[in-house]
Amino acid sequence: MQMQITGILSLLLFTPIVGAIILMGLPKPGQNRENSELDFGAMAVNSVGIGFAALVLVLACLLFAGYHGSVLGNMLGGVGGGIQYAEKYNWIPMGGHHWLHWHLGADGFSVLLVLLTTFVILLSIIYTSRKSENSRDIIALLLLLEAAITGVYLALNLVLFYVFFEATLIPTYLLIGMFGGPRRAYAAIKFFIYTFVGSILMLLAIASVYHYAGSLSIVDLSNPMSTAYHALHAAPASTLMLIAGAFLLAFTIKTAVFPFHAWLPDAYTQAPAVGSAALVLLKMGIFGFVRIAIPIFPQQCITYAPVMIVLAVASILYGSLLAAAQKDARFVIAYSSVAHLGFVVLGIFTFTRVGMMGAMLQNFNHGIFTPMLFLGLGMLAERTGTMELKELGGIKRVLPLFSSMMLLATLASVAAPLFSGFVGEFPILLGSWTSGITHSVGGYWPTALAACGTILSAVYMLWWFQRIMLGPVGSPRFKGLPDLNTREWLVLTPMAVMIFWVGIGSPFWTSRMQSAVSNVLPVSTENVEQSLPVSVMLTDMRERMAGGLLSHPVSGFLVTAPDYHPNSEGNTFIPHAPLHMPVPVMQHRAIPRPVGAPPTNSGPPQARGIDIPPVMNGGTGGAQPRNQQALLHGAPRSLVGRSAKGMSTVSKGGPKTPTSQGVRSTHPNKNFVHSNQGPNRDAVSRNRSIPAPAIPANPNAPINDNKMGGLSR
Amino acid sequence: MTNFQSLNAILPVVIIAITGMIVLLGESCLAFWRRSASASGVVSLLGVIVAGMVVLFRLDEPMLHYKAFNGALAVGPFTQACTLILLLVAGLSVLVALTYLDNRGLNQGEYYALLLFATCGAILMCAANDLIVLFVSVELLSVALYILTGFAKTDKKGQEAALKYFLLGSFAAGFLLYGIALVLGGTSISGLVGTTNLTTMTARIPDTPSFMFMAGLALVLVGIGFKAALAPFHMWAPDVYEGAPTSVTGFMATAVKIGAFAALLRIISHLTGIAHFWLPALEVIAVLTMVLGNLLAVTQVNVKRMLAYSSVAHAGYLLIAVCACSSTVARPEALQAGLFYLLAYGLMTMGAFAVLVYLSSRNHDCETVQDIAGLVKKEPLAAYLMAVFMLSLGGIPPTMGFVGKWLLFSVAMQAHLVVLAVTLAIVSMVAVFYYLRIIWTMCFQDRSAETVGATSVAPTGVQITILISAAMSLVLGVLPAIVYPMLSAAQTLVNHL
Repeated sequence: MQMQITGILSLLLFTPIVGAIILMGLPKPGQNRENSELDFGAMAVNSVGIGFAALVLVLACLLFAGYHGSVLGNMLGGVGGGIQYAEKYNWIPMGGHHWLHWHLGADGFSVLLVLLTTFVILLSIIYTSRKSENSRDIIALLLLLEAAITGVYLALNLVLFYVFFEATLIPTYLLIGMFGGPRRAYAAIKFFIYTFVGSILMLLAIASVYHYAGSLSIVDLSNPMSTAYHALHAAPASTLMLIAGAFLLAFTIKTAVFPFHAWLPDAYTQAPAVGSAALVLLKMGIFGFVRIAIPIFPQQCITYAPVMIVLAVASILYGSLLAAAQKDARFVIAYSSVAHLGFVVLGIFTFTRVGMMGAMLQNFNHGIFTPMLFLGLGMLAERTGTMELKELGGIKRVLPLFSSMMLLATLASVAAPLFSGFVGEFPILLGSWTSGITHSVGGYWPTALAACGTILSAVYMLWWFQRIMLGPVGSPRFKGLPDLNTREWLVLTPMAVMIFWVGIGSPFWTSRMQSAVSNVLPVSTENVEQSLPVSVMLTDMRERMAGGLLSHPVSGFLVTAPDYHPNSEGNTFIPHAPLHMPVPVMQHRAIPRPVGAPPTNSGPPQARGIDIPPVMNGGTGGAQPRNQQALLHGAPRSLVGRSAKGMSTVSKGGPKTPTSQGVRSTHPNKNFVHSNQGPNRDAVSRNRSIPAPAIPANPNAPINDNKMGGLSR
Repeated sequence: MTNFQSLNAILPVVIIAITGMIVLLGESCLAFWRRSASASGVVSLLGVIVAGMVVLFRLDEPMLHYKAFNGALAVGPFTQACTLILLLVAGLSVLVALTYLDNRGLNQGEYYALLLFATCGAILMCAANDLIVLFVSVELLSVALYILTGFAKTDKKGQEAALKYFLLGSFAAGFLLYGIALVLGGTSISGLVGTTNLTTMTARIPDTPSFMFMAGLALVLVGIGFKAALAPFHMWAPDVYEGAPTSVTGFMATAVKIGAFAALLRIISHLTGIAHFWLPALEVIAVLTMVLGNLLAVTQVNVKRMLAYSSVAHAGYLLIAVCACSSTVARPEALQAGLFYLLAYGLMTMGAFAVLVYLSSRNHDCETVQDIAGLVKKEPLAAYLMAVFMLSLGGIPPTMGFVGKWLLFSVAMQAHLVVLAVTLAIVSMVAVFYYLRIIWTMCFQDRSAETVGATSVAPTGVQITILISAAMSLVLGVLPAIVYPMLSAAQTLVNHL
């Protein structure tokens, strides 16, 4: 018999609110300064704040650990499938015995984002715990904000989602406006109005969804089999485009993508350090894309996707260039956020699973290293009293430990390998490269430009670091400043650990998101460019996996167990490989080309910039030339599907022997390919690509499945 | 119903009226009454509470499904729900006045008596099933309010406001009466004597009503629109709201609107058969009211005046519920949404005015934005609760104003009133700007020399009002289902036409 505890999500939501109410009841710390060595008021405020935030973090860890239907998950009401820990109560009467439901639940994206939020809020509260003057109000507002943000991630009802989406505005508005910098009032009202404009349109869109679909449940509306989905999509096409556009606009504004980013630099820089950290946590725009916009309006979002990709690339470049031109240290980080969020949006709207997984991981990363940078700058500002880059300098000589910690965050932001940024940005670029939508926008240019963004990020971030930390000490008064104290170590160390943990052990973090990604992007919605040779090889390789001939993907040092959950497309005969993209990539980069391997003849993959690695499969060695041309120019049909051994025997004939074996089995992205393309894809692409790969579509290809609708042609 | 049963059915009104008379007589006749400053207020409060209890205990009585006084008054659940909201508002107003009058040294007894009579008028407006009764109750409400507006006899602004209100109000009353006469004429078809009874009138409306009937209805709409401060009949509202004593403004802004909209909802629900005749007019008025109210509120520096324009805007929002009554499908939800919004509007407006009363001192009414600049330093709780009311008025979750706005959006879409829904969305963006500016002034600005502190008199009454309003705004914002019995009552209005 198993004990079931329900209501953990409501508990998670209301715990911080209770904490905030208790805090507001406590006296303001630092009011009786006479006995300042024993400020019981401050101690009470700090312990209550940290205690409640820690409690919420423990609950979030329980959610994260219990997701997957483990024993813990079962106890907490977690059951299999995408959504776990679901709770549903009647909430607002809608008349005629219809109810708006208090409907909460967590999927793979939610558990990760809730964990991120609670983690960073706890650290922010620890950071605040010293400043006695306003700490009570700030901590209370942070707790309220925590409740609102986690509510957004857990809401399964459109109106409930909207309620939390808007409720985040109030604490952030007050945080910026009451405790911010000199232009705080302007920044606060700008932030509020910008977001409110988008979200009121979203409210209108929600009302229209209710009008057409008769349901507000996100679960129903995003399930293509449900009546609500059909009712909604029976609405006029132009109306649906308007509704989807309203949602996208709201989320785009919240994410601060290029033309709507103007609120972000002001808000980030005028907020107090913890406020900036909390603002970074406002991932609701990104989450809205994957929870609401794409699942409920897949076709409309595909139609809008080129626009979004253009905006995302524009954000990357524009944000990077502006970041490089700033004079204030915080503005650099703020504009770098615009660029990073551009990457995230790009990854989502590639409509490839690898891109989306990378986007969600980068979203998570950005939520760790940017708060770390902001909190670090806060510590620096407390010591030096300035954020002007030209006044700063040589901090490394004065605060060596502090600058080492900042270097970690800087490298994560630059997306250096081993640091968390890399495992996020690389899959995004890969997804962008393989995406049919990106190609429809402008061939390889969007990806190329976005990749320039990573170079630019090195430019502005390293320059930023250099101007603050290196060189001669900026001012004589910097001499003798104290280095990090215990409280600040407590804030920065967990974040540094997370940066490395994500950078090296990303499967631990992505594993929870696999089912969510495949639910958001079913085969019918995914959009991979067919004409790319990389796509051809990847699909081909996947087909061999289907035959069970290559039973294990190339084992990286961190490859986890095979996927546990049934394929959501009913694709039962293909082993569903795990989707932890980044690891094989890094591993592939780390392994040098075997000695003595003949130089590759420059086939299309190399020409197009994809680095095809040397052979890593089953000990056949790197002896065979990985002749991509051979594959492209009509490998005998019979070769496809042979065993690896058989293939390699055939291919030993020499460089001109047509073979695809080496290419297929060694591509770094096999894992991704395995999980992101359906079986019918294989049949089609095989029939299409092998006889005449240059022709995008072969009308004579036997299509034995009707799921072809969403594939790009 | 016999007369006794009818009287029994409107027992809450009777209790309120008798309490008002007791207060009036006690003030003038009993010497000890004068010595204790707040006796009138306490007695009035008791009367309101007893009346409220009576309503609450009799919510389910089957007798209430009939019409009292030969069909002149409908005493069904809709009336009961409106009565409860009005009694809540009246009780809060009495509590506010306990502090305010003491503070300003104004006379006590007449104030409470007038307030109670006005409440009687408002309740009867909600119950009126006959246009003549409606007219009488409008006058009962208005005359009491004319006097209350000018209650501060030495205040020139108050006198001006009272005169303006009286002149324009009388003019509007003329419109209303003339409209009723035209309706009486317009319903006398095929040899029958004309009627002003709504139930009888519904049965007589032909598919294409006569011009006289429609003109009469239009004039009735003008009369009620004046009371509800709908554009373009809203001109009086800012001046009167600004000039009247703050405690009166709070009552005027809420009670009149509740009464007027309850009457409007009832009349319109009887006219769904000819919706295509009045719906375009009401839609135009709704859009105009929403846009004008919000745009004019943006530039105000006087908080009372800003709240006056905001109340005009909210009248526009409420008109959406009225328009949605045109669709038979959406009508039950529209009535519910309207009632819920009235309750929400009543609570948040009353709370906002109560905060202003709390901040007023003996010789200075807290009115302008300078008065509240940097308030959070001196009176943090008052500032935060004012922020709650502003956010609720702006329709930001998790407050009651949001739930109300959501219900309005939802009924507007159900009734295919897309233009109104879009307008509501757009003006909400404008609205949030000026509500936020109040929070901005209170919380983000530095204190100016004029920033007022709390009143010197022990402000118990107004504190209770603020706390009740804020608590209800927040609790009903999170758990609106608490008032579900009351909301569902609105539907039975339709069932028992």
